[in-house]
Amino acid sequence: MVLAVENLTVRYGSAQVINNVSLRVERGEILALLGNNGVGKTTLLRALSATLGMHGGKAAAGTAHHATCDLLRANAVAVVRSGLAHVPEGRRIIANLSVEENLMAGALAVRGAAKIAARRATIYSLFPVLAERARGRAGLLSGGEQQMLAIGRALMSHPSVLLLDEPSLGLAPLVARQIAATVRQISDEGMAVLLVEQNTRIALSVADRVAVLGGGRVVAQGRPKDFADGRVLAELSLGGRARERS
Amino acid sequence: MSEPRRRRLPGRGQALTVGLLVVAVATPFYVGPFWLQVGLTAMAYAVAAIGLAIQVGVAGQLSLAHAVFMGSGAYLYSFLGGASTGQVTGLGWPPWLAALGAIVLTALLGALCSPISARLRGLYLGVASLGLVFIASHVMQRFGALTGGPGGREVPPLRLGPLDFSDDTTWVIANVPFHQAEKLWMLGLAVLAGAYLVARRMVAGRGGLALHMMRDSEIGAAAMGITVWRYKASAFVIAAVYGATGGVLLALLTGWVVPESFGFDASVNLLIMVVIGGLGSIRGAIPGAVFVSALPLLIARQAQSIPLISGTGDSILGPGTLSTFLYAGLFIVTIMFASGGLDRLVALAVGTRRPQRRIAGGLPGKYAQEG
Amino acid sequence: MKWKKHLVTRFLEAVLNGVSLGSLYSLIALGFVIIFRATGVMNFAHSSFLLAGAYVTATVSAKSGFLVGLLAGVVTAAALGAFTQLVILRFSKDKSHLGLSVLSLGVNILAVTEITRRIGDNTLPLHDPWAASVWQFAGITVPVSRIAALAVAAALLTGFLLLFRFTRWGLALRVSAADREVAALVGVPMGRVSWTSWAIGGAMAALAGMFLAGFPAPGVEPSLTNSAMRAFPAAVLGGLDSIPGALVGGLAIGIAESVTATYEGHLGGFGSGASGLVAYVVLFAVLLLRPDGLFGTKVVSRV
Ligand SMILES: Nc1ncnc2c1ncn2[C@@H]1O[C@H](COP(=O)(O)OP(=O)(O)OP(=O)(O)O)[C@@H](O)[C@H]1O
Ligand SMILES: [Mg+2]
Repeated sequence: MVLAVENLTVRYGSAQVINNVSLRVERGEILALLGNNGVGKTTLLRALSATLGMHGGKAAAGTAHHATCDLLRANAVAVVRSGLAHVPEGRRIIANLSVEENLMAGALAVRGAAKIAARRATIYSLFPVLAERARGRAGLLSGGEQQMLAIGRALMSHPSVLLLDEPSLGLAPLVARQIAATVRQISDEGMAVLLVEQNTRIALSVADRVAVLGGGRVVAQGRPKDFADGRVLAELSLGGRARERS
Repeated sequence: MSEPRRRRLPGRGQALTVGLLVVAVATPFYVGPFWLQVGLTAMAYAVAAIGLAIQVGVAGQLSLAHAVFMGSGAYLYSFLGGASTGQVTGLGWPPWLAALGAIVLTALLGALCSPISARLRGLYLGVASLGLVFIASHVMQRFGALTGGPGGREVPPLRLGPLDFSDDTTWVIANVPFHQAEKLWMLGLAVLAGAYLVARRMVAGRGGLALHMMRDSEIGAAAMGITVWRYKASAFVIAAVYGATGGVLLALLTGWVVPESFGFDASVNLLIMVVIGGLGSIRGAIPGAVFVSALPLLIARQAQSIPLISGTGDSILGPGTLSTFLYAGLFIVTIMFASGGLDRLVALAVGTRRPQRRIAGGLPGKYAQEG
Repeated sequence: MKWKKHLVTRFLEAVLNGVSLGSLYSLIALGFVIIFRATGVMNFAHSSFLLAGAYVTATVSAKSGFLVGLLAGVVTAAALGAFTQLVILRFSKDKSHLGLSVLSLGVNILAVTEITRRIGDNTLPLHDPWAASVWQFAGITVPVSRIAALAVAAALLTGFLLLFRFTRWGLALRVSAADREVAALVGVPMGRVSWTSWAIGGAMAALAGMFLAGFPAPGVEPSLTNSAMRAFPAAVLGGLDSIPGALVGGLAIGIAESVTATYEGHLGGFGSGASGLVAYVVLFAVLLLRPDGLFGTKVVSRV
């Protein structure tokens, strides 16, 4: 087991967003996390990457571990060094730096020039288009290329767990499927992936397991085939919202 | 989720206000000229500080130039109401008209800042406002014909119809002779009370809400249909009016205006008053102003009995230096640990709780992103 | 013909002095910009760093020689900068950029008040090696101190531009400036980036302060802080988050100030001392035309 979240509760001020959530992601496995807008998927990822504090949020109860790292106590640097990387919602590449500089930013917590150069070469072979545009401004990349850059940046730190927040956001279906395929490939090489998605079709097609978040809780877990009938998800989402209101 | 109900003891706030007012009105019957001077100085700065509290605390527009508005009020009053002498010119208007003119013209000056202020976000505005300080001090030093240059110029006494606030006449009220200081005390008190009430009304109203929203997020405010530049301009104009009014009061009680009173240090002191008072708080500005303006006077008076300081020599801690250390230290501590400031103390005494406001407000989660 | 040459040399002198003065302003502005980029704080304590550095340089060099004095001054200012971040700003409950900037103003008041008290009514000489010597070149006369200032500033500025572009520290700074959350996500040690930036800003201000106090200025006086205040507009002029902007802004203001100082005598009584204002006049003019400065990136805020 690589990533383990137990009974996690998260608040922004007095507003409780995540309520007693437990999750596990193993080596070489993709867990897809589904749920309505505003249900707390991004918040959960923030809690794991120690960036909740800069949004005014707080993990009020529970634990989260990655290998030996206590994710709720560690600072952001320690989390990255422990081998957890988070690709944030909306990609957040730095537009006025070059593509290569954006990649190298991902290695700021890593030591050893040779190791970093080798890693960069690996990522360029994974996403050849980034190598072609290495010197260009990152802001000029297309949406899909920017998503590849964001994933590449996260991979620069040699993670063993990858948190992906809506990689398909705003992408054409073809590009989104391409990126999903790459994620599958990375996972097959041993990476544990927690994939947050709105696009359930893509998520179900690549995931090994699925968890559905509703009203701050995990309302369902299972294999992708359990959710293949669209009505199951529709029902779950509604149930989640109803609980949210109460 | 419903918050616990706010505790509010209705009688206590009003009782305290009325009590304070009674004490303030009774003061000139009992205390000597030194304390009157201290109180008058504090009142003049308090009026000005209320304006700055609205601009910085409520509207989130950092200004390091508030003393410029005070100086503008003080000098314009002296120019409009003063007589021409060999060194300086004056228009010799009746004092009430001169005071009104000084305030209106300073409001115009505030409005003139709006093309700049409308284009700058809070922090940039802080630096730009430094420019106003330097330009104003240049004008005060160099426009000798209007300002008297570095030596300053005399301030004509105030007369409002039959009420004469100069030392030429003495009123006798309840067997107590009212000289200039006692008379100005009553005037200052009335002006301060009026300034406070008007500010409270403004901040509580729709305009105040708009200013708050602008402080928290200019883009958010714009999205809510608030014309940001217009509200920014009005924050400047309000600050200018309050500054000028305080400036006229200060000029009246000192009887002579000099450029140093309205330089960078004075502007910073005004900001300190507002921060110590509790940013965003109108009523906190008053104790803030009292503290910062009275401290150097009190220390100077007690100089003999305080170790470390004495009146002469330049490497010795003077009263000004000591008081600067004290209020600058308090200023730092207030921001670091108690952004509620003195207002929180007032609130405790009165028994009401206000939600604590931060300087810039806004969620810490708002990160500017380069696009 | 003779008077014409005189006019030309006078103008050239003014420009050359302006470039030198401007390079110092650039140095101050660059430190200011580094701090702003790393922490989002507008450092109103910058003038106190400058004054502290110059003051320590003057007092130490009186006993131990100029180089030791200069080193002591630079280290003091760097330490003051690091102290401001590590001890004051880091522990502030109010973490908003406006709150922290105003807090730095508090540090400025305390430090300037204390140094002013120590200096008193004196003017402290610097004991610098070039003292009041001047260079004559093709009819142009320039103080050696100005040439030295230009050389040192140019070397430092180039060095920093290279650091920014080609080192991990520079990249970390650029990433933190652009997006603090991404900086955290990639594991930039934000605390270290912050305090090193404050220390570097302080050190650069101290160096500039030392040159500004040298000939033709009389020595270290409290009014030295006014020079730092003229470098604020240089930073804002350039766009506050832009390194080349700080350089260009500093040079523009230095040249404008020096040229005005040369000719302000012709402007009558109101003109004398106008050179001290030029920085802000230029700032207002630029801001009216380009609110984000000459090189600033437009900031897109998330609501
Ligand atoms: N910084 C914040 N402060 C306060 N509340 C927040 C903050 N960020 C998010 N929230 C609230 O927490 C809840 C969960 O938000 P979150 O962004 O985690 O949802 P999400 O599942 O990622 O939604 P989406 O699918 O739209 O990205 C929402 O109700 C949101 O309003
Ligand atoms: Mg989300």
